[in-house]
Amino acid sequence: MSTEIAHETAHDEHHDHGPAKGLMRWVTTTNHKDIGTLYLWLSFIMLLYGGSMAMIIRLELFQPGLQWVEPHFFNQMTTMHGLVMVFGAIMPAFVGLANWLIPMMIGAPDMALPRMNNWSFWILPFAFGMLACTTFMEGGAPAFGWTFYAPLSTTFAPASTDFFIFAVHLMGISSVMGSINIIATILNMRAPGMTLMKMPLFVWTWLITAYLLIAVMPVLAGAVTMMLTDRHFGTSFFDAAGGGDPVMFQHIFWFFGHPEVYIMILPAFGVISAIIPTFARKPLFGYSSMVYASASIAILSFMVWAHHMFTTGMPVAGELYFMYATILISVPTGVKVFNWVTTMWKGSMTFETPMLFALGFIVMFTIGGFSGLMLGVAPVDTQYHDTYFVVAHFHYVLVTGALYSIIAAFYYWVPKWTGHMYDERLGKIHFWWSTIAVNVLFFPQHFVGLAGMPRRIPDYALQFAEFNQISSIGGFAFGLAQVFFLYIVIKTIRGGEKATDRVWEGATGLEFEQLPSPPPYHSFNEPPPVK
Amino acid sequence: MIRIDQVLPDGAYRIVLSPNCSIRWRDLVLFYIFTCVIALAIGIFFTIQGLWLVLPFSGLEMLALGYCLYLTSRKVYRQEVITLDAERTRVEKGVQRIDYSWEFETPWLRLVDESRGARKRDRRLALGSHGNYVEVGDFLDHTEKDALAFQLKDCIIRV
Repeated sequence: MSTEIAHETAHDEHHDHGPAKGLMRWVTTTNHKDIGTLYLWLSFIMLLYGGSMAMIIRLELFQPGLQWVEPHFFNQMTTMHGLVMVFGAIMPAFVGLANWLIPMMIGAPDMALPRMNNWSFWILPFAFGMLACTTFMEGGAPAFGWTFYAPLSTTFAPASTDFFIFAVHLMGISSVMGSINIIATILNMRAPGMTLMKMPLFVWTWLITAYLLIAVMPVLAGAVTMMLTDRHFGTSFFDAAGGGDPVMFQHIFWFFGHPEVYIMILPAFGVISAIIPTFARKPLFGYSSMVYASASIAILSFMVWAHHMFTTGMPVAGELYFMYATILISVPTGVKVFNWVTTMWKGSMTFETPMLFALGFIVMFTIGGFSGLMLGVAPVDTQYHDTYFVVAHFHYVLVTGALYSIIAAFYYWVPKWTGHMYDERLGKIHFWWSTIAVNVLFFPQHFVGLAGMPRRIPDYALQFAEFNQISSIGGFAFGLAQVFFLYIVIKTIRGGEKATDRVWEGATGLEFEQLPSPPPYHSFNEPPPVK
Repeated sequence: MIRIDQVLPDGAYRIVLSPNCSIRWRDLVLFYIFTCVIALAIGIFFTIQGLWLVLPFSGLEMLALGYCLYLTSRKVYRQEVITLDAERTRVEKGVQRIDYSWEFETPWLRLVDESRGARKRDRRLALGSHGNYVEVGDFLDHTEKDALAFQLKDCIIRV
């Protein structure tokens, strides 16, 4: 047994050091708050980048006929818009929130694997940089839709598709590393007394989301690798001429893609479950049923993928199974909406900006849920498939659902993060501006979709002109509202009324009860007491 | 977690400190096996359909998950053992074996108990003598540190 004399003294160690100075702080940081901030800024930049492509799309669709861009470029815009928003805006924003909040919520000093946390972030700017560069390559950016169906993405794809494949691999690696980190943190690093059933719902939903990511990311990685080998190495996974099956690509894509939808919405459920009780000044109704509902949604998300493929021609038994399984998801989702409404019932409610966005989420996400139910009905879907009705549906889920919850989370936790209250008047203007605009943008798309306007087209029949004009005006207004949001974000970071430690009268949880506003660089040097 | 033993008739004390462990090793292994079963089942399902390139990614991912869980649980399973008798005080730290150890003469032993940082939130206990100190129980919460400080003072007086 070796014996050594301690050379360090108790004073030599520096547990309470602050952040390093300069640019390298952000490059080399392993602090969960810094990395959370980096994720959130990246997602905001990607939101504006993907949003600018949406503006091009809406500009072109303002009038029938080809006005501004060529059809091939239009297809590039729809593809890149989808990819950037899904992988660059929504997912990193939730990972950013997870980085900021999970250690503070469970009483951990940091994420379990801080260096890996740094890598999982810094892979992303390179992945998205590479993806963005494809726009300037010969043949243009990928133009086969965010679903990259074969053979559009194999036989008929531009050369830039190889860069797209590499970028998707990098995003996948980043997501897997982030998920492993979140699972290891939540399982291993909870403070004494923080049992699983005492964890805030945001932590629960992220644990389930991380599990979903772990389960489906190899499927995505396998899919794009098989695309690559079909393109360059003579395989025929998705080529009917070589014995493969292009429809199998749709199966493999949606086996990843449908859980991916829940990856983007489960953390939103966690955010809303934190905000509603605070402003209703009541504990969350049915906590355990919320946990079980989240888990049920996750399990069911693996069993419903082919509802995206009703029109490919599947046996009636298959259609029936996927239809009923899809509709079954509305049960746990309904439990959640019921619990949020019941939490508010007879509560002492106030309507600060986070609450407004949370309420907006509940109402409009439910609209998106109902249109999803309609799309889940196989015979009806045959009519709606690939129309603007589908576009309206998933934008109600992802914009007024996921994005609204992210914005709500920002307003709810930013006083804790920065120590500054945001400007409540500006926050409310942002909410009403966004909410009116987003409904002007997406609600008419239900009508043009039901009337038969297909998605992913730069030109359309004259009968759809009015609704498209209304939709475009809503789109420009919604885009401008998010530039206004950028102003609010910067204004809040730079200063504002000092936030109290608890921030909100009804706020609960370790981050509000045990930490000052803003929290120290290292939140918990020792585990906090958990009630 | 603090465990105190009075060792043998010579009156020596042994204090064993270990961090909070929020999941038992057995449960962690079960979680890992369950995840492997799910991930590999998906990989095998697609292999049967002819899309075998999913399986290697599932395997790689499960290896990464297993390694990371092992790595983080190692941190949780570390221990610090403080053994005091009338002559010597030994502090040992490690995971499943002694990785580091320090020895001090008990008559000269001092316990440093200081609170630092914003709002004195960061409380640190250190044992040592003659300018050489080693921090003990940095993973304990405030109540446990209170108990450890009390026990150490008590043991030092008794031996």
